Amino acid sequence: MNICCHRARHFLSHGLCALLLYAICVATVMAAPLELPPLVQPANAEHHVGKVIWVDLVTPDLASAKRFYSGLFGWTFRDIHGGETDYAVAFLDGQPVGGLLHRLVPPGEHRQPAWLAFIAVRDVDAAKRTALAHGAKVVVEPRSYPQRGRQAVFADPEGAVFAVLASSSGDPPDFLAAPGEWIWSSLLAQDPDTDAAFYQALFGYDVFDLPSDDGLEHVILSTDDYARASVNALPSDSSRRHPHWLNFVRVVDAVGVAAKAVALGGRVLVEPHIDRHGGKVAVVADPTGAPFGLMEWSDTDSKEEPK
Amino acid sequence: MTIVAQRWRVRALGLLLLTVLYACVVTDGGYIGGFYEPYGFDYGGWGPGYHVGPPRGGERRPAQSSPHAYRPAPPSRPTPSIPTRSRGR
Repeated sequence: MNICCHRARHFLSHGLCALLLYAICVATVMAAPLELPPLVQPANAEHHVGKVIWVDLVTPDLASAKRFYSGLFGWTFRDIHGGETDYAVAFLDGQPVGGLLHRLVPPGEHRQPAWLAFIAVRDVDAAKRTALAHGAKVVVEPRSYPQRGRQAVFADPEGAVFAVLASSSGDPPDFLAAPGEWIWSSLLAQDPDTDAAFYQALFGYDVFDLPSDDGLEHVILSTDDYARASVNALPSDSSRRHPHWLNFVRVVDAVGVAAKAVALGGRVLVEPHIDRHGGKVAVVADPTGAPFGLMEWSDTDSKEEPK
Repeated sequence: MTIVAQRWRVRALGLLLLTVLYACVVTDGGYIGGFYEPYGFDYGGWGPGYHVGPPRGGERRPAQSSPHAYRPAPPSRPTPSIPTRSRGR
């Protein structure tokens, strides 16, 4: 009997130690931050507040998304795992162009995969205070990633979701995007006037109103004397339109790339058409439905001298 | 079981409890940079003249006519465009 009790205690003691080690391992792995690469390599001291400096796709099918964007733009990917997160950084000619995040849609919910724009700030927590003071909501609280910097996700007063990022390696320099890179971002809003005021308060934008041919309001948001984004009134012919940010990839041939997107399993949401700069734009969706824009931009499209 | 062994067991149990609490309280290593939009909105309705892209730059703007919620740039400032300098690839 004594021998049995001794063995039971011995077994319990060893079992407890094993359980303890297991719990420590699990907790460590789960709490390990995702090792995201720096935005800029080598790091610089540039800061371009108000510039869209990163974009992330959230998708329920990472493998399918990789196939689609690789086939469409020639992007390559580097997988990163952290905790329960699967993430892939997309590259074009060695330059990081965005991230693809695998996340399952909660059972029973209908949600739309989307590209999330990250706008540069110097201080994420100060941006949070300003955003809240001007009617925004916090979607995800600020969080730091060792090499990336500090970031947070907000919804503007109309509900359009965007992220802010204080990059710890500096902001990407102001270069013209190469074909296959993100070139432009547009906010489609119910009330561009009021929404532009919100973003001006948050990022200090210079706001330029533009004459329009369609009777709707369109404005340009600018910092460092560069156009950073546009704010456009949502077309009013449907109640099923949702305020949102839309990001555009530079392409050489919008018609050809839109057709290729369809061949790869995507679909065309807005047919290619001429925009104000003289090149074509289109809106397409990837196979999971995430919308993004295509924009032609020839090297001679800008009249301004390089700054 | 000796008193020393019992103390060690209590310490181990305490550490286990703390570890479990840590795993529950500390946010996981997951990434916050993704957000699913609401489902069911649609595109389209971009009629003629519905332009969302950047201007080519340098366009003169008319004098302000109506008040705005934002502070507009002075009319004397031409509308800027996107960067023109290439990375040199």
